[in-house]
Order: sequence, then C-alpha cells, then structure tokens
Amino acid sequence: MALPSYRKFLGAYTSASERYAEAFYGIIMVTGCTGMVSLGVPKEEAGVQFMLWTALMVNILWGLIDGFTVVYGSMVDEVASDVAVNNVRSGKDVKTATEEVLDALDASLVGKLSEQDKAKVVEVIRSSKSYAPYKNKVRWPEVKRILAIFSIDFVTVFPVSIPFIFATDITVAVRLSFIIATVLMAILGYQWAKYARMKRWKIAILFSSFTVFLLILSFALGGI
Amino acid sequence: MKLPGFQLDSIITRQSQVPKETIAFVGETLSLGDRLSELLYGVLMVTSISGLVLIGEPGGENDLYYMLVVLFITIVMWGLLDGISYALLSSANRAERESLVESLQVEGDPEKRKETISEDLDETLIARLDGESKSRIIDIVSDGLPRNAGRMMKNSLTSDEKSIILAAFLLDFIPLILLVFPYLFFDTLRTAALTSHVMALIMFVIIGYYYSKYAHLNKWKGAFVCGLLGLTLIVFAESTNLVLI
Repeated sequence: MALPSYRKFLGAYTSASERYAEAFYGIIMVTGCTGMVSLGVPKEEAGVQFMLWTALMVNILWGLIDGFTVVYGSMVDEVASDVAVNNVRSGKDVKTATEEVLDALDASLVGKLSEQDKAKVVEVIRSSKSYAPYKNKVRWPEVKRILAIFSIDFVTVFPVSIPFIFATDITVAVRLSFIIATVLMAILGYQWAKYARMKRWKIAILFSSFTVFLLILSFALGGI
Repeated sequence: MKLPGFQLDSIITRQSQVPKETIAFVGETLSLGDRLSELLYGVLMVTSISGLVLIGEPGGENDLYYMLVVLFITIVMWGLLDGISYALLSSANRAERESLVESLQVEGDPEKRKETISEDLDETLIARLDGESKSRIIDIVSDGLPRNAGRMMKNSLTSDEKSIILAAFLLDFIPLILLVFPYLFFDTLRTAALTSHVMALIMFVIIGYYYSKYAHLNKWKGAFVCGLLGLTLIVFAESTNLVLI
C-alpha cells in the first residue's frame, strides 16, 4: 500500500519530466563526487565507510538543494510572469511584455494555438477584470514539493551507494558503484526517451556513456 | 569601467550592452529562474569538486596543474550535461503536451474537454485571472486547438532545444571559469583553493541576492542564506580536514 501512496504523492507534486531530470542530476552528482573523492584520496587511506558517507552526504545535500532551488526558481519565474502581465495590462512596453506572457504560456496548450488565437488570449489577459498576483511564500504544498524532489533524488541514487555498504575493498566498491550508475543511467535514458517519444536506445547509450566517461576520466587522472 | 557584479546582473536581467549577443541569446533561451538556478548549481558543483579533490593530503609539484585540469573538465562536463538534460526536459514537456492534445482530439464530451483544458491552464498564470476571463481563454483554446492533427510518432530536438544546450553551457562556463583563475595565478594549491573558495562564496551571496530580488523576497535574507550555504560547505570541509588542508 505504501508504494501506490508514494507514487500518488510524487504525481501530485512533480511532473514526469521533472522526475526524470531530477534522477539524472542526482546520479551524475553522486557518481561525479565519488569519482572525484577517489581521485583525491590515496588508496591506502580511503575506506569504504568514508566513501559511503561521502555518497550519502552528497545524495542528501543535493536532494535538499535541488528541492529548494526548484521551488525558488519557479517562484522567480512566477513573479516574472506577474511583472509581464502587469505590463501588458498597464500598457508598459507591451511588445516585450506580450512576448514574455506568451513565453510563460508556451509549455501549456496555449503554445499549440495559432498566432491569431494567441493574440486573442493576450487580449483577454489585458482586458480581464482582475488579476491576483502570485503569492511568493513557501507554504505546506511547496514544502511537500521540496520533499517529493528530495525523495526522488534519494531513492534513485541510493543504489549507487550500496556497494560501499557491502564491499570491503574500496577499488571493488568504486567500480561496482560506477557499474550500477551506468545501468541506472541506461534505464533512465531509455524510460525518458520512451516518455518523450524519442529514440530510446540512442538516449540510453548516450546517458550511460556519461558515467562511462566519468569512470575513464577517473582512471586517467589516477583515481581508484 | 564595469564591475563584475554589474556584468552578472546583466546576464541575469538581459539589460546589458556588453557582450550583448551572448547575453541576449542566453536570456532568450533560458527563463530567469532557470538562469539563477543554473548559476547556483554550477558554483556549488565547482566548489564541491575542488573540495573533494583536495581530500587527503595533496602534495607534489603537479598539484596545481592537476586541479586546473580537473576543474576545467568539471565545468565543461557540467555545462554539457546540464544543457543536454535541459533540452531533453523541454522535448519531454513537448511530448507531454502532444499527448494531451491527442487525448483532447478524441474526447467527445465538450464538458470533459473544457475540464482537461482548465486543468492544464491552472498550472499557468491564467489561473490567477478572474473566472470570466479564464472561461473565455478556455473557449479560445478549445476552439483553436488542432482537431485533426496527426499523431506524433517520433520526437527529436528542435532548433530551439539545440540552442538550449549551448545557452546552458555558456551560462555555466562563462561565470564558472572565473573560479579556475586562481589555480593559474598562485604558486601553492592551498592559496589557490582558498582564493577560489572565497570567490565562490561571493558568488553564492550575489546569486542569493538576485534570487530573492526577482522572487520579490527579502534580498539580504536571500544573500545571507545562500552565503551561509557556501560558508557551511567550506567550514565543514575545513573542520573535518577534508578541504584546504
């Protein structure tokens, strides 16, 4: 019962595209950071426990920072939309303001309309009786959105940390972690491309090549 | 002479005269919120990576050169990954919208059709208009949507989305390369890393200030919170002997 509730929670506070993007950033961040630690730490000093803490800390910190920046970034965009709408309604720099309003609406169904219909939409916005400005405050729904994004990062990226729990040899753990990250990236790329109706295998190979490149880079620079 | 702070402001607000074309390109391609978030992620990434590489006891004559290479690769990689993921996100959003249009094409019930359109528009600024205006826009969208458009079989990146890759890359690369400069000009790794981290701390404060300014929040509070985030990263590393040893 817990899994459907969790899925419902994610569905309510994040879009499918966002979930894929968050997982992508999370895996790259943790793989990149564990790879970089393996560069800086002499093999005899680097313990699996140390790497586990590094991976978990990066995971948790990145999840939180990601959640907050998504919420605050949206806030900046909403306020920018308000400014554009107010300019359209007050007749200040109408041409630029109209473009900005249509830009803000482009991802919605308005983006599919003809130029003529888009102009009608802007006219309705201009002549509307009232427009309630965006309330730029972090309330319970925003907190839930931060938690949803944090959980996507944590849950998706946690498998990358697993080798550091079970492996005793640091070299084995780092390499296993990279292999898991590569597989995760391939699955993620495949699913994301399927959702976006793009070439699935092409994107899966592209995504997994990022972690393979990080691994090669780590070797080339003298990492574990 | 223009101060670096002014230039950063220009990148964010698109109002500068120099370098006009690059700034205009980045400004037109990425939203204000995206630009600020990207700058924050980038500074965070470079600070963390340089800190993590310094873990242990760096020593040896090639350390500065080594760090320069690592940071340069980090910035280029991060810029590219960021750009690619942004372009894919945009492409996925487009596919999501196409699916919605396709479902509306086969929806026979006019009320349900309007309800679906209303739900989509509720996620935009149209939700903040009065009820009557919102209904009028729903009617315009309902009447104006393509009725017999073919199903989208395959999706690929549009020229705009390809531009996003370049814009995100430039937005990461141009300001972040500043953090690499200390490794070119100082003799010791410790001094170079310290200078780079102090520069990053200043960037954190500036980004926090503008984040809050454009979100209509308290600017100095925002600058303080972002600065604190950067400072925590550096102080934590210092206190655990992980960075700047």
